Amino acid sequence: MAEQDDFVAQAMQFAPQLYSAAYRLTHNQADAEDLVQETLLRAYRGYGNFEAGTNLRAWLYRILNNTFINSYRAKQRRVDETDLEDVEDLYLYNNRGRFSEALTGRSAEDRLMERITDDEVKSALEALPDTFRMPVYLADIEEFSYKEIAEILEIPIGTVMSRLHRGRKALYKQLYLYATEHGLVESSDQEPEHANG
Amino acid sequence: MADCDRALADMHLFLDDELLPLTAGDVREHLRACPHCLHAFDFHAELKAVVARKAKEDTMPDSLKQRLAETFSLDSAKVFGQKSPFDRPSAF
Repeated sequence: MAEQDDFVAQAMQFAPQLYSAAYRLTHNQADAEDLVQETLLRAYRGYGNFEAGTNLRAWLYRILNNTFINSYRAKQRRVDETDLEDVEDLYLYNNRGRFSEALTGRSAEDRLMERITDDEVKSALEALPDTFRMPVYLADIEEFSYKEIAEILEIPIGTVMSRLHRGRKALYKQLYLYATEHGLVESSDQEPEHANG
Repeated sequence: MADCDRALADMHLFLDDELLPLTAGDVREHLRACPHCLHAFDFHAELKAVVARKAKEDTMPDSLKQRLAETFSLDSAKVFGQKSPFDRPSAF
């Protein structure tokens, strides 16, 4: 069928990245697979309503996000938007000097950048409440514009910006905490520096 | 310094390419003159790239490829392939 062939030709190429996003949302493979499957089915059924030539990728992610909210989010711990601690600006950057240079003499920052593991980044992302994780994921991993993110999440651009700002701060702080756990930070003064106003 | 405060306030917008060209130009000009801010910008640009690289999943599980192939009557090898353009390249 022409329409199905067209859907496959246009939309299937996004399946791997949709899976990646689904995994970040659901935290497990089985649910992520189901979510992608369901998303693509809904997309297929609604493909007649999709205006050819417009942003297919954003359209698919919007369906993914809505499907997640409707079908999967209830399964998970509901974290209130206000549950995100406010982190000061430049927290990680201001504390980068605390990363130990003892062994190799590499700069503190090189050590930080190379020592953060894939799992730590993924865990730090997953620790964020959905409300903040989605904008960060869409901007920093999937490289959508603010306008596209607003479209996908069906929120105003201003909200995208503020959630992105808070989400990133929380993410970077979590990465700092992982680094302290792994002894990358000098143990003599664990208390992180606070920015001067 | 007010200029530094302004530049740092715009840092993420700048790195996200969301500043209007005129404002982005102002930021760039400040960075040329201010090694302190340039360093902060570089750090965050790299942090962003590191996070992006490490959080990407490389490939879709075969089980999912199979399910989609069945659901959509796909030639799985053709759409998802062995060595597929649809698998995202791994980091390094």
